[in-house]
Amino acid sequence: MYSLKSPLNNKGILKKLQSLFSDSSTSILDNDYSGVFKYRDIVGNLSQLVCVKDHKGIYKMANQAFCDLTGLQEVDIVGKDDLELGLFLNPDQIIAADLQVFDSGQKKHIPLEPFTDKYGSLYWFQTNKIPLFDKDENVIQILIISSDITNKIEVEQRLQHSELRYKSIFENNYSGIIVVNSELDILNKNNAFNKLIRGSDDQLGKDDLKKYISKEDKSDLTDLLAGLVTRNYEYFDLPLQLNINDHEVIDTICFVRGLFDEGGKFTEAVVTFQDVTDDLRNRTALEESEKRFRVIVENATEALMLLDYDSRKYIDMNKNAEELFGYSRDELLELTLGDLSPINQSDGSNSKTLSTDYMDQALNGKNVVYEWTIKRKDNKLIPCEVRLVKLPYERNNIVRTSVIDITERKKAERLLNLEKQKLEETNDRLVNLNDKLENQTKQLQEFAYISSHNLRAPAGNIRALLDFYHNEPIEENFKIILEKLDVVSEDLLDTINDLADVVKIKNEISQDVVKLSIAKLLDKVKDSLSQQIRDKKAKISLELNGIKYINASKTYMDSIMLNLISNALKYSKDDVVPIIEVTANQDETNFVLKVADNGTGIDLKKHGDKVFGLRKTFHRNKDSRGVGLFITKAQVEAMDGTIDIQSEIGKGTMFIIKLPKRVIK
Amino acid sequence: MTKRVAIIDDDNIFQFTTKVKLEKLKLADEVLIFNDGEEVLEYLKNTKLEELPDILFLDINMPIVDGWDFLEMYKDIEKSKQDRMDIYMLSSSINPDDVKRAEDNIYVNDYITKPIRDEDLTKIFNR
Repeated sequence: MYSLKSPLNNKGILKKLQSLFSDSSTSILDNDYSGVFKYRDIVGNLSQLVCVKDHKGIYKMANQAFCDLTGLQEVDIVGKDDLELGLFLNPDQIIAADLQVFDSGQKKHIPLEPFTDKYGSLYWFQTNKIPLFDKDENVIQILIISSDITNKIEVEQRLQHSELRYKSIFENNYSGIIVVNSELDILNKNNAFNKLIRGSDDQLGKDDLKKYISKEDKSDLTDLLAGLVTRNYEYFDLPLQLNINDHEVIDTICFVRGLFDEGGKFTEAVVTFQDVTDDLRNRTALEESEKRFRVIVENATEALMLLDYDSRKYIDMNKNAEELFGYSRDELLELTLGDLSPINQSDGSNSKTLSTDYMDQALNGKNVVYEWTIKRKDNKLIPCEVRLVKLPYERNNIVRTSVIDITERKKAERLLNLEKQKLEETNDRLVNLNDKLENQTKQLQEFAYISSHNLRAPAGNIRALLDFYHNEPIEENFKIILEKLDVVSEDLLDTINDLADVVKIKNEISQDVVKLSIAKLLDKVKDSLSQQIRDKKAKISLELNGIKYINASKTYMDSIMLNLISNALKYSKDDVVPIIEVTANQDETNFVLKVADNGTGIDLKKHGDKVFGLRKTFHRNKDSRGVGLFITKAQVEAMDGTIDIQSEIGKGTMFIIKLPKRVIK
Repeated sequence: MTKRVAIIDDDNIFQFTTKVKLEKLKLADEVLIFNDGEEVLEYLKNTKLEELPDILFLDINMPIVDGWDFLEMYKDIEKSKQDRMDIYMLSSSINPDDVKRAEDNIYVNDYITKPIRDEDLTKIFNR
């Protein structure tokens, strides 16, 4: 085995050998090798190469190691010189070195001598050439002892190389590295460590690790080092706080590796420091932030959930979410996007389509807020408000979903809406009433003017007739005047009766609504008008369309039917059989009663706005006093209905009455 | 100068008494009677300029073509004929709407409420 510490050990033997050769120089000179051969076995078994040459360079002996290396037998070597043997690439140099020893009589040490064997392998030797003297102090032979140091050279080269490498790694490492002994004295430290402890460049020398660490850390480190010293283990790591100065503490993780000599004894330890201060600080900050976030999330009033849009799964949620949806956290984590909504929203739209749309908006960076019906585990539907925000993760599409139960709000909204609706209805009613009052006022005023007009005319006529009599009170005139007065008084009575009818309607604002048979109504009218119907041979038909009854005021309906039918009879064509069709119908809110005739018709373009006026007649017909339709309209309106007319000259007229459906109280 | 008066009114008594009055007061030489606007319009269209009435007494409430309708259609009567005639509205209506409407109409000289007094008639004919 090659030993690092002492490559040429057995010095003792060599000395002995040298003195042996020296002592027996005489006998060697006399070719008496007896003294030498006494030690032949010793020499023969030496690992060094040993040979003896004379001054001509002729080999006198060679030991076994020499033979082994050269691959020759001793007999082949002895008696030959180096040129003959051809053992060395540079025999001239060797011969020169040999001659130096012969000439000087001084021992020569050649520290490095190359030797190439016959196979071309290179060996390195360290050689001592020792002069052997005769009794006259003349050098007669030289003893050459060579050690094969090929391995040593290689190792040294390797070591040198490796040390350089390691030195470079040590010096230029980003991590602080120190070498300490078991007493924690720093034997060596690198730049990075110096930087770590805020040392200046000139403080690269020795130091004391104990200066930088707390008592507790020191005791831990010492304990662990003890294990290294006893070689229970060869390395360990531990967190270590370095106190740089009074206010700065650096958190490190250090890795400690023991170094041992060949005897396995602990020599020193290499300590590598990793500064984790920032990591720790960041981690602490992160943990605190996370904790803060958790508190916020858990105490939020709304249900919060994180949805991984790519997998459509919920990846986190707070307690409120569990309560709102009625699922446990573990169950929620198994659900996907659509599981918490009914198939359709309350407005009928598809939940999946709609939510995908909202999610897309959120993923595009919009804050999306919308009302949404959710489905609980117990299938209960709850109206909610949902807010979506995409979280600022670059790689994942995480959407924060915040859900608030707005049942109460909806209820309040509904109540509010109901109230609002009620108010609006009341308001509408008031406006309506006002309109009606205004209308009534207007109607009353108009009525007053019309009454005044209608009464003033006959009154004026009476006055004029009397004036005429006073001016010429002769019998002839008297007769004429009486005749005229007769007409006027008749006219006046009619007018007064008409006005009375109208006033009656105005007074009977609340009429008793009863269930009336339409057929009976018509029959009654037919009875009243039987004379005219017979005279004109009129045909009156009734089409009920399933509507037998109508809820309305009997007085008004009698009057309305009478007016419309008599109107139709009155304005019939002279040469055509009058056909009067009464049709009952209904829409959602109204009864619709139509009375159509095939009479003369009215030019509505001309008279449309005056059809229902008082004392408006459009025919030179004796019976027409222009009051019937006015009364009819007033009666229809008193029952909250409407009346319309369609007419074409020569073809006929149709009146359309719409009465709101009423419930009899 | 001969005065020709047209009474356009559906009230027979009014026609009679007014006619008698005009003759008695010797205000008109000739009194023409029309029962509604339609009749008089026919007459005005078909009558020569020199034979037209000088004064028209126009009622409002009449069947078929009432006073207002008449005034609408009167626009179509030749200008020369219009220039010859003065129109007075005679009505029992005291409705301010009617009064206003009559005042605003360029063809109406005046609005007189019935019953018409002798003074009113005299005034009209002395203008």
